[in-house]
Amino acid sequence: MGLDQIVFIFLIVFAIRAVFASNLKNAIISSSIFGLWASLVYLLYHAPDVAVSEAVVASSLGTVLLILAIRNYGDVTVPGIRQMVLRRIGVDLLMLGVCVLVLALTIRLPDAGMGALRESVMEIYLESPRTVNPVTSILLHYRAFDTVLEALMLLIAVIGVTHLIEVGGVDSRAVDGYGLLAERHPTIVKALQILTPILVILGLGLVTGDPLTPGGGFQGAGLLAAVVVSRYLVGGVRQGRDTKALETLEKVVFVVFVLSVAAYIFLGVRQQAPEAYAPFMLAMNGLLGLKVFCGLSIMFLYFARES
Amino acid sequence: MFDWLNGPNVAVVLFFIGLAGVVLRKNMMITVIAVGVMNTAVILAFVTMGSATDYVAPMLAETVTGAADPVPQALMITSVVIGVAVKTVFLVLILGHYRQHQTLDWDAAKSIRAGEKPLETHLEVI
Repeated sequence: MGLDQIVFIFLIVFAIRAVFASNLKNAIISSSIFGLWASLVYLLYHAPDVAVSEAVVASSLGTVLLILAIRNYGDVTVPGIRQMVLRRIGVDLLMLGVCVLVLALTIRLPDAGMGALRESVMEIYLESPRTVNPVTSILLHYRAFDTVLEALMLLIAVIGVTHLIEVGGVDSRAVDGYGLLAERHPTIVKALQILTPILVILGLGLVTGDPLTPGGGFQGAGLLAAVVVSRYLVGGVRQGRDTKALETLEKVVFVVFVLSVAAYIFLGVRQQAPEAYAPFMLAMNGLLGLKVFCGLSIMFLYFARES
Repeated sequence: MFDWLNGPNVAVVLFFIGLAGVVLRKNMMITVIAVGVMNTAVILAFVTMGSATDYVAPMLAETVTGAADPVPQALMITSVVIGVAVKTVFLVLILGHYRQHQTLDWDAAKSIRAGEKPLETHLEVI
């Protein structure tokens, strides 16, 4: 029994303690210790970068956030494991059964082995002057787009948090609260204004770009929808904005998308005209991008109008 | 005897502990913690699949074979950070809900949404 297996047992114990605690304080402290054990496992499995980010970001910062949140709550006791398990035995057994099933499938899984990507990444690293950590170089080179979008996600989370705290609760400002963002956080608004054209170009590039490069309809359209959200937050409320045209467009695009995919597959275009594959992928990426963009924008505008 | 106690299997167990927390427990804060446990389980699976305790870290490797896989590690760093961002937004939404309705209970929240008065039993078990 190795050190890692002992740590695994502690992980399971503290996960159960955190999830099935009868007091929120106990649950939070247990989840914090769970995070530290998880960080130790990453270290034992030679992933020091992940271990550091887990210990610093998830285990400590996350715990602080949880503690700050429960300060606001009057009663922090919750019904414990006993009431919960006895109340819903059917769901318990279902969960246990599915867990055993997945576990059996995982045990029968063959060893991951050496993937081609892993081999080439390590070979390039070993031949290089070895001045940069390979994990960092993947993050900033091979996955640069993803990392940029991660930073954008964080920015959006920050905007969301500041925004929701201002309009949250029974505050009467909730009615016209969206307009306050520009007054309270001029830096964020300025940053969004500077970012908007860059994001539009990047999003369109992801949708229409070479099918061989990372990205595609989904990612690009997500980015374009993020532009709509940020324009909305910057510009304040536009009451009664009509989404009918967008909704119609979305439905039409969906029908066209389904029909063209069906035609492509069932008419055997791929076998008859292999050279049509690349333009087909490009067109499908564009249609998918339009569809996802319309869908995300409609959902957001709908929520914004309702709230 | 303890061979089955390896990374992916433990990750499955942890994921289902978190899922049980989401499904069975009725408290919003416990849901946040349980989703965090599920997030950690996914990270654990990715990190342990491409590695073993007798490997070396990718930055210290001398040969390709004995080195831990750097690709999932790079993916999982993003996952850790995004997990905390999601958790923060989640907490703020719950806080707003609590300030308005004074409850952390999913059932009570559901009945408030349906336009009913919160049941007495729900208020007891918050």
